[in-house]
Amino acid sequence: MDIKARQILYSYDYDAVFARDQVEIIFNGIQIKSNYLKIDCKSQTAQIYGNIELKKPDETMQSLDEIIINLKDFSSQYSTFRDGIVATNGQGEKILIENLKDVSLFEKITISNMKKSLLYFQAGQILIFKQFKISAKDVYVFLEGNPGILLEEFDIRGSSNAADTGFEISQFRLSNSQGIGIGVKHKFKLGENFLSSNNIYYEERGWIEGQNTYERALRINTTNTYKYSASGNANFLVDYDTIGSWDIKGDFSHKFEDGHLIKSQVYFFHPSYADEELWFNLGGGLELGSFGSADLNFAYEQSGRINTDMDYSNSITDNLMISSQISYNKQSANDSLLESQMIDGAVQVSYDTSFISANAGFMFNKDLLTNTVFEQPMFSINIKPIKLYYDLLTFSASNRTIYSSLRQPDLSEQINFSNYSFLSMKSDAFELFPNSNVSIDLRLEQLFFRNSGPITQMGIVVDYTQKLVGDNAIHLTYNYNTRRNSGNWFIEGTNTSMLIGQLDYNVFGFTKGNLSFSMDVESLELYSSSLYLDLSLGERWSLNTLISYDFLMDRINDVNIMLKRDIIRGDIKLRWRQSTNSFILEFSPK
Amino acid sequence: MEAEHKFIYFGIQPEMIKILIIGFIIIFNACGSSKDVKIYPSYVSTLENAYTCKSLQINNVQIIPLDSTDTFKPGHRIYIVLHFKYISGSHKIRFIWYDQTGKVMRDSNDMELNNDSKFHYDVFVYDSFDQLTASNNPSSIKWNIVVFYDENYFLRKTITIAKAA
Repeated sequence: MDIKARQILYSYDYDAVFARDQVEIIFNGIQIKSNYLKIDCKSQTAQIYGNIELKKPDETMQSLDEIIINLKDFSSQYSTFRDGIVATNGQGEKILIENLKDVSLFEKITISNMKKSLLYFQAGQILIFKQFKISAKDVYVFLEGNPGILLEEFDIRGSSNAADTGFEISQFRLSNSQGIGIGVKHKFKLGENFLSSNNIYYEERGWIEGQNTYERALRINTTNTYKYSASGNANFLVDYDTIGSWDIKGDFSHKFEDGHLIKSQVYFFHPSYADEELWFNLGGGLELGSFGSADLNFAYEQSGRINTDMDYSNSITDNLMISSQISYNKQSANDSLLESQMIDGAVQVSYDTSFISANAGFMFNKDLLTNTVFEQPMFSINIKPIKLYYDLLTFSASNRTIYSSLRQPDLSEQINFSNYSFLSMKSDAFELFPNSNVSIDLRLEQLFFRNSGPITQMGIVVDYTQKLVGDNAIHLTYNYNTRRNSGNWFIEGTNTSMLIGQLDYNVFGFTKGNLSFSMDVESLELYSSSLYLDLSLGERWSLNTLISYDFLMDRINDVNIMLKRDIIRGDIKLRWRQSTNSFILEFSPK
Repeated sequence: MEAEHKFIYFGIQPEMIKILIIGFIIIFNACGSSKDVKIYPSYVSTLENAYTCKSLQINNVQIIPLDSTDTFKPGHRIYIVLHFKYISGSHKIRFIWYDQTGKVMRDSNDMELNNDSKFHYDVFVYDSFDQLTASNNPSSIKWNIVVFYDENYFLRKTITIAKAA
């Protein structure tokens, strides 16, 4: 496709072309003259509009208002709007009005958006090739609106298309603590069923003083997925890095029509820091209809490690559910592992209604080598939140009892018992003064441990918000907590009370942020304070600052400054952190 | 499609070239040695944005679209607002509203593009959904608002008018 116009812009940020004034387009022997042209490169669709003159290969002429072309297969829609909407496809067949192509995709491609881009190119002529590579003649390069150099001939867009096949930069990072990193991603699609995604990431840290891990590394990973039917797929993955680790994984899964699932995996892992491992996994899921569902997994490693587990769950009625799990793990000793043989099991019955929910469970673990047995039955009951006084007050309560026993050979049995009760009363936010909101949260907790006796804990949280002009507001949170050992008549314990305040401000959307502090109410001692500032610098730039101050240590805890440029298809960020004196320049695509 | 043409670089990925160019331009600009380059004049009126919305706030300086949306319910006024960045010379603008069958429902006819304001709008008001639909009783319909600039098709916005819930 050959495009000429008095002004053609390609924006890197939007990945789009905008051309206006005496636009001439030639493709497939068709010649089009128009006022405007917009191309969305990601979806490979073009909108040509305004005073169109179309000349077909057979030299017939046609006047139109709008053409929308899918540049993948050159299917198109021709429309005129003057005397009612008349739209046809490329073959001249009429298109129903409700099937008229949506043009909202092109709304973002405007001359002012293009000129706000971090990087854009202006040319008089461009050529679009297969895979959507775009090359241009007599190109001016603009960075942040500043004209740079003039190039005679230049490829302004590589043959990349993230949606399908092609290269893209996946990451760029420059930092004084983590070095330079560049990631390139390559996608490859073959038909509808085969997708290959490959990542190359290069890190250079050699120039960092005192770095002690590695100087440079190249990491490569490839993921290949073959979807052989709607119900099954096979994956093949390879990871490699120049530090010395690599792994290969192949897996396969298939779901049957009746819901059963079978999956298998072979995994070889060669780490640079430990022994290599070769795993064979086989698993499956069974759908047993009214008898519930079960999962089974078996894994074997060549040095003799075995992991097996089985899960079963069933909803007996709408309210009653039962689930159980049992697993067996075995490993023999080597350089990095100790010998072990374990059996774990659990069973749980839960009952759930709109008013109450209850759980009863039993858990056990047996170490077959040392003959140690751990058993833990538990029971809990929760009252679902009850709303009182026109939903102004919410009341909820729960109780949990846990009993545990640990039996080791040649030692006496260790028994522990605990009970925990929780009562909470919470108010909905109500208006105390004009433009203010108050909410109160009261809670009472009673804990009982076999060894330490009962502990009572009580707390109150009061939240107060006062709205000021615009989006400015003051929030105050008061938190009082008391914890008492209530076993004897002599009650001992501690009280804590804390006030947290925050001022949110927003000045005409130009700068916004907040200032917050926390303090001990009894001693009137300030703990910490933080200031967050968000300054918008023009439409695409912003500066964020976060400063936190520690009053107990009497010093600035940390300062974080971040300069950000939104480039639509990603962000460019420059960050500085005072505590580690590190900066990082980063490009991360969205 | 055109035949593959010669690259000006050899064996380096286009993305890498872009990074090198960005770096080069930064240095180029920083050195302050950039010569004057011919920038294309904005002699054509430039559209900043086009909105459809439910209401407008009009003051002496500008028109601010409120509740910008492309889905409308019965009882709403439908506004289309064009915000121009530059307007050069004298021009005419025309809004034509087409219903779901392609029939003209409103035609503003040619209006002078007023150089004093960068915002221009047109509005459509209707009483009930049934008034807009034929007998087949759909739950929503799509309309197209087409804008002509100096008698040339300039832009199209598609809106959805839904039946009240």
